[in-house]
Amino acid sequence: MSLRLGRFGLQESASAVGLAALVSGTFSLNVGETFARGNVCYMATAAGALLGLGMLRFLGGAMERRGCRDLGDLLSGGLGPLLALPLVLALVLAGALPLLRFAVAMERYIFVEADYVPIVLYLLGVLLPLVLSGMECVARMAKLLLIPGALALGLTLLLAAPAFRLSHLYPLFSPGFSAFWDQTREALLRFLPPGVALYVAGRGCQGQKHTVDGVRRGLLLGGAGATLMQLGLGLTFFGPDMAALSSPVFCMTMAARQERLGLRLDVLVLFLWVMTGLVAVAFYTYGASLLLCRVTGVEDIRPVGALLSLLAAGLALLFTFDAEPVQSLVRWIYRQGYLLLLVPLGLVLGRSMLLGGGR
Amino acid sequence: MKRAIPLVLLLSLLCGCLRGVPLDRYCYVLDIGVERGNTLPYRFVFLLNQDTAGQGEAEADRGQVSMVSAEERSLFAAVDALSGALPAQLSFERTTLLVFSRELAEAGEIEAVTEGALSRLKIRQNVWVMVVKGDMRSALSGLVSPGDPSMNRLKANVTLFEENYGYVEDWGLSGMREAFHTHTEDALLPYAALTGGALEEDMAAGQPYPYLGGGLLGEGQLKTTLSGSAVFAGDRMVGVLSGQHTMLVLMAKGTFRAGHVSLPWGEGTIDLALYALNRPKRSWSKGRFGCEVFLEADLEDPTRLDVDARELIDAVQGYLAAEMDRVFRATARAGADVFGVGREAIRAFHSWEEWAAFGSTGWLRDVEATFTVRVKLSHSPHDPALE
Amino acid sequence: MKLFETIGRKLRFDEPDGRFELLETEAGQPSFFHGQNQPPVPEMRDERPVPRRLKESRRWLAAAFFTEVNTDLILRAFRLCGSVDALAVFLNGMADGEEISDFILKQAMAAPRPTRGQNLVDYALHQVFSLQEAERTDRWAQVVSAILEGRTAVLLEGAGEAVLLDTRGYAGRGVGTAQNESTVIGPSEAFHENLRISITLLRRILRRTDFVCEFRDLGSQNNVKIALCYLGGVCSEALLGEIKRRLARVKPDLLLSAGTLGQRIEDRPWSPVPQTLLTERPDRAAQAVMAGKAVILVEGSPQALILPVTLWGLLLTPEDSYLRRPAGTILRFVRLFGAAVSVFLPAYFLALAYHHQGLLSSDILSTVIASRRLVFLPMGAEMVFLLLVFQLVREAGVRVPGAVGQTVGIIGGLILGQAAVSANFVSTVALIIVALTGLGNFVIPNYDLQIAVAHYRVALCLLALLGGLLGLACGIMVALILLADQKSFGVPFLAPYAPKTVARESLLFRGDIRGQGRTQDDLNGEAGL
Repeated sequence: MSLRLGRFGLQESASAVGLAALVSGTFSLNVGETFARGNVCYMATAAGALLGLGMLRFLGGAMERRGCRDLGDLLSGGLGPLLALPLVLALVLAGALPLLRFAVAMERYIFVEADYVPIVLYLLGVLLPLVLSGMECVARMAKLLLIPGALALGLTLLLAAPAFRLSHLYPLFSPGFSAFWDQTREALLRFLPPGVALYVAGRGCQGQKHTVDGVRRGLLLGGAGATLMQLGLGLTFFGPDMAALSSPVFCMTMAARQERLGLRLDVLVLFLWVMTGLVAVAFYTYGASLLLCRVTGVEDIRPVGALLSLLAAGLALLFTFDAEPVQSLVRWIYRQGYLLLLVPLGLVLGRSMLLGGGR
Repeated sequence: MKRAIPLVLLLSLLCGCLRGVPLDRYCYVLDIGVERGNTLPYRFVFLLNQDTAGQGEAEADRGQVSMVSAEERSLFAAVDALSGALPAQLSFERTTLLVFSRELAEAGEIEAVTEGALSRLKIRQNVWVMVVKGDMRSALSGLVSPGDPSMNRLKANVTLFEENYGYVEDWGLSGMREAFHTHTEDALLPYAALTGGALEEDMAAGQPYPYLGGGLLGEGQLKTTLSGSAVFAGDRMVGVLSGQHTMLVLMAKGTFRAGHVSLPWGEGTIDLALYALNRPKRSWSKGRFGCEVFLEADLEDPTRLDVDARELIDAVQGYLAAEMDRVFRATARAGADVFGVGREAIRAFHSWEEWAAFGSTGWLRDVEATFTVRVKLSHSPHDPALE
Repeated sequence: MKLFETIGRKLRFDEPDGRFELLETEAGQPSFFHGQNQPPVPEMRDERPVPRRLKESRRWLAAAFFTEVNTDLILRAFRLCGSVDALAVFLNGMADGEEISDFILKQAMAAPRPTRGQNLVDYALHQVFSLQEAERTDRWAQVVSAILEGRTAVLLEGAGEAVLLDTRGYAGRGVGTAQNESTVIGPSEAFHENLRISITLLRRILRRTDFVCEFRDLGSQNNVKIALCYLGGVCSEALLGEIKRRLARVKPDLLLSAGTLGQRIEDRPWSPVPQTLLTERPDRAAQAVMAGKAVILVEGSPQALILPVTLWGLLLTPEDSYLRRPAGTILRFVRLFGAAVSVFLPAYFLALAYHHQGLLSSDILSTVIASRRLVFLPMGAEMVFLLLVFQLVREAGVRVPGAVGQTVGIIGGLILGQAAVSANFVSTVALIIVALTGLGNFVIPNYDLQIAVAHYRVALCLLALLGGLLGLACGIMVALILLADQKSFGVPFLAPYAPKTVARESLLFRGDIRGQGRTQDDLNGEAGL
């Protein structure tokens, strides 16, 4: 059996969840649709993170009651393995979306002469060994990159701060309550996967309590970071202006003049985000691979991990195509992708409630 | 893990090169100037930081800076046209200044020139924007200090100018574009002219002014000097404000830091140094715009004995409020919201669509503005400590 | 199915994950940035008197000195005046053997019987042992302390007292100074080829009863003798078991140095980063032993092998502790900055020069372009070429003896560099970058790590050349993955940061010297924290 789970502690697991939530909450957005009619995204992000946290607490509680050490245990038996498949897909998509945003930002603003393929291949070159190294390594990398991640967040906000205008947030609540609710639901695709991925790998965490605690702390940390980023974006650009940008986070670092610094930090900050984001993507991909292994009984995670890494990178590459069917699919994922998580998790929770505690 | 290494190496080989070009194979465009062309719509003038072949001895006098230009329909086309006529590729990564001629700005063509080209050419969103009067080649060459290939020193000076005098406001491209179509604030771009040129007409004063920040009639090292601000209404330039009047706008907007003012006093004038004390209080209610500005003042000549503190404070407050009101009326008449009243007005709206509909009407002309200035004297005249 | 099995076998996907792990036995939750505020370790005072029975004394000594595995403690039984059972106790290497034979054993055996009623200890002290410094004690702690100093304790049956005789005679002459790990402050002694002398050097620093030196023969035809040194009861049993298991597997035909042994027992022989720390400084080895690590000394090798080791351990020097806190902290920052410059500067410059010229200011761009005006080598080739030349000069400097080596360095560095620039072979900017890189490389205190960094540097340069900052970021990530995944004898290589374990001090700031005697949490030592 080589599932490469290893052992990791509370700080590592909270870091992994926190980074993943921060990266997803910041980058996994359909910019065009989200901001076209104004900006409620920063409110929806906070609400989505809290909603996601509540759901994950339920899930953690159900796991505790049923005496399951990880999500794989909870999904075992009955239709469990079948329900795991949409979860696997959701985790892979959660990994593919930040990859897509990074690839787009680099292709549009940094390597304008280059193609998407080599850019994604470079990213895959990191993703693959990280996933194959296993959860212990992913968790350690998350711990290592927590400060660079915080630095990326802080620098982005600091560089954009001179361009902040409170009036950019107005008209407040412009797209209306229904848009806010839609965006809150959509945000579940950003904030449920980090917790799900850690629950899947819960057996490696030192103690069930630490798994639940890691999800709580990480999601609060990452959710707060993502909300800050969205608020920063909201203060930097008017919503409809932002809808036209292909990478608002990168544009944000260039919005204000920084000549006094003597050096340009925007590109460096983007690569800090890329490094942080790759750990988040690897976390999701490893979680998907482990879940697939657990429900199918495959004893070696490496072939599965390699395949799912390729799938995540391939999907990111596919989503860059302008063809209408592809873009419709992308839009559907952003809008309804959370259902891939919500439906199976709801069913599992329902089943565990019916069955009561103890296995 | 051991077997992952060849895999990673293989991937790296597959990745290949992201088409890097060494830095010495480029000519770096420092500034782009755009003016009306003779044959085609636009003339693009590029100031390069590398001496291109065949520029002659006159170019060598300016250190490593050289200038090339092309008449074309778009920036892309101009770059294409010039690529074949240069010994190296053009790189826009170091472009820090976009200069538009007054003619283009008045025709509202700035947006058309910059649209689309900027991100593909790697021109940054926060590039500095300026409007100049006169021939673009002369204006651009007048912006470069002798022996200094970069614009850094000029820019540092302008930043200082903004901080210490408040005569210009520093605008980047992204801010300018936002101002062009969001109706929350209109652009007030730095305006430059060739030294020794004709006198300018300030839109608030309604008469030519002999003195501007930067010293239009003075003799400096740079042949092109900053001489106030170009006022825009939407994407069209509608007039010019002098440095002193720009300072009043900045005070009301909250971007003013320090400056000087000279106000009538008895039969002569009195000079005061002004500093921002707090951010101004701005309000908006049903067509009424209120602005309360808080300043600290200091006598430039503390030994003057003909000054009473209370009298001076009243005089300064009254003078500045009246001047602000006058500038506001003049710019509002032209439809230019340089005071950023829209930033306050937008708060009363509930949806972007409503605001967009309101913003495109001529709402500014009907706005009733009230300016209140509160001044605190940092050193009271006849202070025993000063005597 | 057979085909799948074959493919699986070929790809080794059937291989179970059998890496050795030191199981976590953490005392508590580490704080986010550095270690816990730890309570001071209570001082244990031994108030016991010297036992009357020799059997009891032997038992106490065995317990204190771990004599089952620690063969350094010599217990020489003899009869005083041919009738009284006595025991001479001393530490091999710390005490002078000749003095013990001539002035203790020979004299005691040949001495006439004491007169009736005469106190035995008085008699032995005044009429038998003719050593210039001798004293009597009835305190057990004093006996142990004297033995650790190199004195000989003579215990007499039924006396309830011991005679302590000054037989200190450890190696002093013949011990050389550290050549490769020199410090400004602190001792200059270096380990010796003679195993006994090396152990003595350690014992002079570690005057503890629980300092154990286990001697082992590696079992090859050569019968190489090694000593495994650790603190009994402090060093993790699991770690010791793993070290012994790996040592048992080593059957070298020719084992010339501790370095060769290190290669045979490390976790990943192909990793460029060292997993054991080779040191020639006894103080550094003693510090490691105190922290709960193990040290291996090899007969004929003037270096000690410290294991396990973490990246942080490789970047520290003993001088950090010798200097005062602010100075030690600044020194650490300088060293880390130097290491970062050494790894990243050339690659970063190439990334900027080839892909992100906008990140360089116009002034720097003009300077670089001017310096490359007539240089014919492409920029990437120029940088890689200069890095290779630097390695060449360095290697030549090391191989050539003494002062000539310095001359080679000067010729290589100054004359060759100047000539290369004059001949438009390389640009001055590239030369400055490589020189800075070289300087940064030398502040890394570990030679193995310096070489590893050189590998990474070239790899990062190539990646930066191909993929700019993206290539560089990916290269850094892959390097970090390798480091995060690496373990040294079950201890994660990036501990105590990733995974976070309770550290004795913060990573960047030199901690309080009072905490430095504690064992490290990541080693999961028996004593814990």
